[in-house]
This record gives sequence, C-alpha cells and structure tokens, in this order.
Amino acid sequence: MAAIRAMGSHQHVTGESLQSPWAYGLLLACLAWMALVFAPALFASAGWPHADALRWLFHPVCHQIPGRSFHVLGEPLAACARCTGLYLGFTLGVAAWPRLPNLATRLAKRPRWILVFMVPLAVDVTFESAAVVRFATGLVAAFPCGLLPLLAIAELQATQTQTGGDPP
Amino acid sequence: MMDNPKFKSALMGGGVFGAIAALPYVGMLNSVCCALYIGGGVLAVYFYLKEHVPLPKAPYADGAVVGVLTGVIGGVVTTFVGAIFMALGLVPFVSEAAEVLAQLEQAGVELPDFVRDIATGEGAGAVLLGVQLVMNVIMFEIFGTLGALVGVAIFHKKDANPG
Repeated sequence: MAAIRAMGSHQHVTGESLQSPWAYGLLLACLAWMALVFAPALFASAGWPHADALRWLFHPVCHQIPGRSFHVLGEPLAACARCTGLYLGFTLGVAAWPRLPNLATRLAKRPRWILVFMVPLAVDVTFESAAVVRFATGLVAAFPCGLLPLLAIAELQATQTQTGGDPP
Repeated sequence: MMDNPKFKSALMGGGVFGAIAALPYVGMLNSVCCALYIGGGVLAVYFYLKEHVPLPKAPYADGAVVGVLTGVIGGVVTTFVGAIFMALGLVPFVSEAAEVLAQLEQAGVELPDFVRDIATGEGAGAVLLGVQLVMNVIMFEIFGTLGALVGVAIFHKKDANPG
C-alpha cells in the first residue's frame, strides 16, 4: 500500500505501490478481527447457542465486562469500549494511511509522535470515564499505529525487490 | 540460533513477559489493552536496537520479525509456566475446574456450555493445555508484533550522518 525509500536521513512514504496484496491482506485480517468483535452480539441476539464461544476468544486480551462494553441489539460486544476503539482505530489506520502519503511521510520521519496520540488513553485509564470517551481515546491511540505494519511490509517488499526474490 | 540477535532479543522479551503473563493475578494486566503481550514486543525490540548502530531509517521489517519470534516464544512460555503454576496448585488445576465453574455460576456468572464440557470431560488437562497454547501463541503473535513495531518507532536511533 505504501512504498518507502530512504532519502538521506529521512523516511519518505509514497502511495505508489497501493496494490500490495500483503497490505490488503492485513486490512482484510483487521476487518475479520472487527467482525469477531461484533459477531457474538449479533449471533446471541439471533439466538445462536454458541455465540459465547466466539466471545471467549477475546478473554486473554480484554476483561469483557458487559458494563464497560457497547451493546448491539441488547448484547455486549466481545471487547470492551476501549479495546473496540483500539481495534477500530488500527483498522481505520491501515485503511487510511496509504491515502495520506504526505501525513504518512511526516509521521514516518518522526515516529515517536505516535506516543503523543497515546497520551489521552494513558490519562483516561486513570479516570472513571464514559464508554464513549474510552472508545475515542482508544481510537486516537491506535490510528497512527496502523502505519507501522504498512511500513514494515513496504520495507520487506523493497528488500525482496533488491535481492531479486519474490515479494514477502 | 542463539547467536542470532533477533532470536536473543525475542527470547528476552518473550521469556520475561511470557512468564509475567502466566503469573496468578499479575497476568490479569493483559486485560488492560493487552499490556503484557505488547510489552513483550517492546522489550524485545529495545534489546535488539540497543546493540544496533544508528540507521538512516527505522528497521520496521526487522522489528516485525523480532515481534513474530517474541510471540512464539512468549506464547509457549506463558502456557508452560502457567501449567507449572497449575501443577504447584498456585492457580486452580483442571481437576478443580468444575468446582470453580460451579462457584462462578453461583455468583451469577453465565458460562458457555462448551467451557463446562471441556473442563469436566476426560483428558481435559491435555485438551485445555493444547487450546491454551494455540490461543496464547496467536494472541502473543498479534500483539507482540504490534508492540515490536511500536518499539522500533520509539527506540530507533537515527543516523545523524547517513552515507
């Protein structure tokens, strides 16, 4: 989705290789992950008996407390509001960064700026806030992180091209 | 393989945070935005980049490889350290799982049927260990790799005089 080339001490990102199948594969994987977050609520509301088995997938990485989660059709999502925001922010980032080459170049030059986007989440963790706020801070924190795997994929592809091998 | 800097770093990050994730109560920190899995990736990349000379551009591809290795090592360590804690009785063993499930249900927690079936069936220990291993490796892979990429963004030292 994004190509990188070293320009002096800078990391320049262009949108010239937007057709990278691996980057689209990553986006598909992110969408599938989001579907898994929503699926248990949809299946449970439809009366499917094993909806909780899907919900169980997220238990190692989320507390899944219903009171801290969004509800769809009366059923809680498989992840809490903050985790849902993180997952959605990352997915939006993977989808959007290839369309924002100038901003992507700026962020790639100063990657520590992603920490600034995490400050609201870090502050929010210490407070008892509304679900919408937890969702929003998660979304903001994860959006810039979506660029990082795209940079890794582009770098792997550039290396493969230089060595004459197949793309990763 | 032990001389490979990527593997050595992954061993540190995955080993340390894999063991922490398996600790009773402390392991629940993973419920806070997968903090321990992400932390494993960040720590691994920190060790990897510590011995690296500054580069003109951040080595995200190397970071991703370190993250993937960290995920495999961390997932295995979490599972087997967790199994040791179970065997030592520090966390409920599978044979006590039915009792724990009953207590949870008495407390009003609704548990899926398949959990009850697995926890009370024959050979439950091996099945649960296998399922846990697969789950831990997959989750540590995903979030460890993300952590490693974030680690590259944070710890990468730019070469002031490239070329």
